[in-house]
Amino acid sequence: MQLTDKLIVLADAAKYDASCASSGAPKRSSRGQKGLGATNGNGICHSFTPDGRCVALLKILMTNFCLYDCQYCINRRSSNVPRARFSVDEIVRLTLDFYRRNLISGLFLSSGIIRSNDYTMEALVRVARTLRVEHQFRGYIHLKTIPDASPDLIRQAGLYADRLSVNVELPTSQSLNRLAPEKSDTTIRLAMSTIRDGLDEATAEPRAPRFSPGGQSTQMIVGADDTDDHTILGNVQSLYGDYRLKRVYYSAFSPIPESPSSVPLIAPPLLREHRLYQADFLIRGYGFRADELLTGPGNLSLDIDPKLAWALNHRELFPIDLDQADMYMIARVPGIGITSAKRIETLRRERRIRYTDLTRLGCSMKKLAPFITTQDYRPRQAGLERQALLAQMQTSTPAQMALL
Amino acid sequence: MTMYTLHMAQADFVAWRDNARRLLAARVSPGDVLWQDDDSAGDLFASGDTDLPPPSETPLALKLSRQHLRRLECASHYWPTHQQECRWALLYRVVWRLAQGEGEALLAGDSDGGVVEQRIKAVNHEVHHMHAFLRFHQQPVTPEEQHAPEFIAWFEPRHDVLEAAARHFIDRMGQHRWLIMTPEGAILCDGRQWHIERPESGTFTVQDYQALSTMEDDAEDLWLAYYASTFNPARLNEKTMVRSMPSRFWRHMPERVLITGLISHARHGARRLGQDSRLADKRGHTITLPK
Ligand code: SF4
Repeated sequence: MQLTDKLIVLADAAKYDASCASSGAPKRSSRGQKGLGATNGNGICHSFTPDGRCVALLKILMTNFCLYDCQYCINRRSSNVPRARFSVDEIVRLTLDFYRRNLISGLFLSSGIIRSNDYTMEALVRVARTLRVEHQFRGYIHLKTIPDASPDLIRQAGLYADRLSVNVELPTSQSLNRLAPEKSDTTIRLAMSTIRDGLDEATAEPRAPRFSPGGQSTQMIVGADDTDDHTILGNVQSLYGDYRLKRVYYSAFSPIPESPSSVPLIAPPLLREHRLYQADFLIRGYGFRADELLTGPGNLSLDIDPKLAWALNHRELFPIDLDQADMYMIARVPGIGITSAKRIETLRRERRIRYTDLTRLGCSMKKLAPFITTQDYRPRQAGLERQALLAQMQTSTPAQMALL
Repeated sequence: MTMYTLHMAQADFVAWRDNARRLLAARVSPGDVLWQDDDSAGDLFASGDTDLPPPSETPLALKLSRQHLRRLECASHYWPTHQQECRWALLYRVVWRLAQGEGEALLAGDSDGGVVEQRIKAVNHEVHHMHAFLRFHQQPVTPEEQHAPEFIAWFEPRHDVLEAAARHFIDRMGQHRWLIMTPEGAILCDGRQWHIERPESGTFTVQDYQALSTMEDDAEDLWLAYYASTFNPARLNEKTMVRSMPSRFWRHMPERVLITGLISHARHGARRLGQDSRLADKRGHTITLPK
């Protein structure tokens, strides 16, 4: 098979994994040196495809031959897809050629499971080692970890990769048992602990060998089973706490060819995925707890974002006075982000806050209007019934990503 | 009231700083200075630079932290449109107000500070665009041409970001020799040293660049194969693509030739599945487990 054909097969096979951020690497430079590549911690999106997703890394599988039969996966052994396998040199060549042309910031490599877990993991590590050692490649490398591989191989992967990730795949262990019978929640979590321990050691002991400086992340498929957002967010919150995860990625389940009857054949729930990302961001960045965002079973509202939904459920806390309120509360106002909250705090050390300041800070005025007061502004809607406000907000929410 | 006119020969923050210092010392208020960018249409009433008045008996002086200076310099790299205020006038009003004790003048919530902040954001964003969307083309280099660049790129930035953005490529490209050309200047790096070349008159044009470029680069075909295949038609969302990758950059990106085709293909059915349709017709095979 020609290299181009392999690339088509193995990029198509890899594209359902959304966890391809290229951030969190330490500062590296090749200025005037042998070798190639630099990182500075920030990811770069070198292109966008018409699905609106960022192309930051060369995202491919080493092979899409796979012994497992995960129902949601296009590469499962019972799937009738063309199969291919890259050699180490082919992956290295593609990575370096694309990198030199500034098409990518690095490599995101994963694989179907062939022969054995260790055999597969070792092959992935070999690619990373060849890039780092032989070619002195200093760009980004993200390796997907095979959960059942031996801890020793995971350690080796951490020497070369900027980020390691193990996918939890599905929101609950019941779903995993049902849809990915060869996988086990226990081994997935063991692999995540191995990575966490490696990260802990590397931070605690400055002379410890380098270990995945960009941390670890995971991905969860949404919409392949019927778990609700309440369960998802609860589980996600414990994942963040237990494994020092940088990020949890949500991937709306995309229909696959010859879809088995165990998974739905429907358009990917993109808006739901979007709401989960927003909720996740509130948990990581704003100190929200999962049970504040969804107090009982069910899904996040698709009509309004989770921060606005929370504020509407807590009308008794608002409006708040921007000259007096805590930073923590200001950041909880719909339409005001963390950065703006900090800027409000700096500005009010100089003088009192005026309503127009908020426009200049780039806040979303429509959203915040009912929730704040300033010396020159009081909300008119303060007396409005919660429902009336909700209706008003809904009509003013811009259309989100369209579904089919 | 005397009006003072100052010509700024080029994007020269150091020259502006010098002038600003002297203006503050002479207590010349912002309304009495006319700053002229070299490229701005000449004011009919302005002639050459006016001599600045001598320092006042109670001169204003201003100590700025390094961070504040850096912010001002960054904002000075913004190229205003014709309706927008001249960058030097804005910056002078900011330092004038700071010198009067108005600490808020550089804060994002302030009317001037807000504009400075917007300009900094726009400049940084453009640096980021250049890091992201610039494309190098490999050039065939014979042994006799040991100094010719191996990788060349053309880019049209919206603000004065050539130098700021180039540092990233110096870090990235190791000992490769490369050239990035923009209308206002070109940056050349031989793998050790780099320098900026300005056009002798006017600007560099894309034709100047094309004259350097001699050949098709075959890695581009691989890239196109990859781009189409990593696209998931089931998630079609053009709006987000265009918002994240403004179309003004497409002209010099190889994938531009694919975009409309992929979109219309997705609209006409391919959207039902995520799989690349080039694979759907190919023979596949299932895998039997070894005993
Ligand atoms: S292990 Fe499962 S998810 Fe991974 S490639 Fe194989 S079938 Fe797909």
